Amino acid sequence: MSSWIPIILSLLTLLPSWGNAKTIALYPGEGRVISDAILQAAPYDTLVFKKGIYQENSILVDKPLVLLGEEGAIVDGQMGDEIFVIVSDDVSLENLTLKNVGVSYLKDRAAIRLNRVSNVTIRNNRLLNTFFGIYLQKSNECVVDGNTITGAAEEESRAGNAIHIWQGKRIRVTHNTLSHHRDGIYFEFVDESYIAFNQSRNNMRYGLHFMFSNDDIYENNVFQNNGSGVAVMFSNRISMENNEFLDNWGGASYGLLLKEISDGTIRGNRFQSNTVGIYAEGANRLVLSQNLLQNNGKAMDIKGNCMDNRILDNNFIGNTFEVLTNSKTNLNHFEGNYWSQYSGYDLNKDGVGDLPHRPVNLFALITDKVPAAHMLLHSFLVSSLEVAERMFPQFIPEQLIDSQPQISPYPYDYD
Amino acid sequence: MNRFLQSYFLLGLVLLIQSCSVSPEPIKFGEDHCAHCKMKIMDPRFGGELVTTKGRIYKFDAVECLVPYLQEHASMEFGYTLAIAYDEPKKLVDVRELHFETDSSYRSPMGGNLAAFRQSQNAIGNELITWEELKEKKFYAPTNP
Repeated sequence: MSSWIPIILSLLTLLPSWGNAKTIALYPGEGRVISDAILQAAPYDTLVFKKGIYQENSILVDKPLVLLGEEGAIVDGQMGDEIFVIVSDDVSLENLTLKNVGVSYLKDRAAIRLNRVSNVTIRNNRLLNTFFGIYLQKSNECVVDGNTITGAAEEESRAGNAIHIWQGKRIRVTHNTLSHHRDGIYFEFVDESYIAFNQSRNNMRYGLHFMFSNDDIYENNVFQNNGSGVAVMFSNRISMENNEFLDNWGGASYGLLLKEISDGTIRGNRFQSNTVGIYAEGANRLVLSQNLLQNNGKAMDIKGNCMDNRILDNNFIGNTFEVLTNSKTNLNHFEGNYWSQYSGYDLNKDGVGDLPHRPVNLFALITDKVPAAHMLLHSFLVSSLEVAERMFPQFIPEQLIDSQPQISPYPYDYD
Repeated sequence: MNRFLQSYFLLGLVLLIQSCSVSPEPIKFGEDHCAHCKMKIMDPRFGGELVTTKGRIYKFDAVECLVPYLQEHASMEFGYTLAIAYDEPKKLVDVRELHFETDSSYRSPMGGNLAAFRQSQNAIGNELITWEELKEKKFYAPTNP
């Protein structure tokens, strides 16, 4: 079974409607089959990868082409350098399986790298054991859709990000499934972009990570069982709607970590079974509304340096602690939320509690300083201190109240 | 009986000495969190550690997190100030033995584009600065390059 298969590059059809754009079929073989085909192709040709394993890496795509995999077409990078490096506009790469990119400490190698391009589409590919998955740098108006990116990540520091975007505008990241990487999606200096319908699970650091990015929207994504769900840092005007932040358990795990961000909206999300649902530090002028925060250790940890945030009409159900803060003053506004720990009454039956609710729990402040004190939670002593503190606040912030606590939860539909 | 007592005494003594010693510990990548930005420490080419004179340890995912932490906690006393050298990943080195360089090709975790070098010839060749110069710098005012 020697290598009797030569390099076969055959002209299959001429597509009349595309002028002189051709469709070229590729078959696995010896040598640099893909690179040679790209070299010989004319701009706007289509290369169809026939079934088989192509052993090749460092493939430079420097002209507008359509690269299309048939079922079973696999490009194996053999633990070497990057597989596809796209440096031309108007490229589309679809339906391929790419695997095995080597780990390097000196270079962030990716299965697919886009460098200074626009209008490139990466769709429906499967990436396996590639150090970084798809890496966009200084690129605009690109689409990353429907890809499944799975890392190997047997050792944690050897994992890169599944989708890594560094400097870009108007990128669409949709319908991808990302797991076992460092961050599922990483944005650094990415503006006016859209992230939706992705599933990011079992990643080691964050499901989604924003750094220095503005005017982005992410919605309808699922972030489950990551180191932490989503981190939004040093970013402004981010809209976060209808996402699910689930099962981020661990000593310093958060559903959503907000740090130095302002003017965003957080609406209709579900935060469930996280150590801390929402952690906010230096967050300003955000509107958090209609979210469900359920079964978290701490539903919200909002630090004293957060200002002018409005927390309205949310459901807080079954959390151990509802709100935690480290300041005696409160510069945020809580109104019209449903708190399952509310113990007031509603005599006039208008659905709103007659007494304000203080969601900050004295014992939450203590356990924040002395974690071992968790042992005493729900003991008689702690519960009685709790009641006394709510009546005559000494340690909990006096103005942190919800004056319109709801008697029953809102019937929002979170899927 | 006497032997038992002796061994317990020895064990106690060992624990006592251990607990009093002020020494750095290696960063557990993928497990430890940055004391400043709360991010998990992942990239073995970047990072740092502060050990107070009382032995409390603070770990950082990047030098650009360690420096502001030092500046914000000027009253604390540190026995060790360590950083990871880009040319010797994972290893913590005293900052005074390191040279620091800023270049956009160093993708450090908090956007400082800052790397530390043990051997100055391993750097790209931009301006190298010492720890004394670096620790006065201000970080977290990134501009899109």
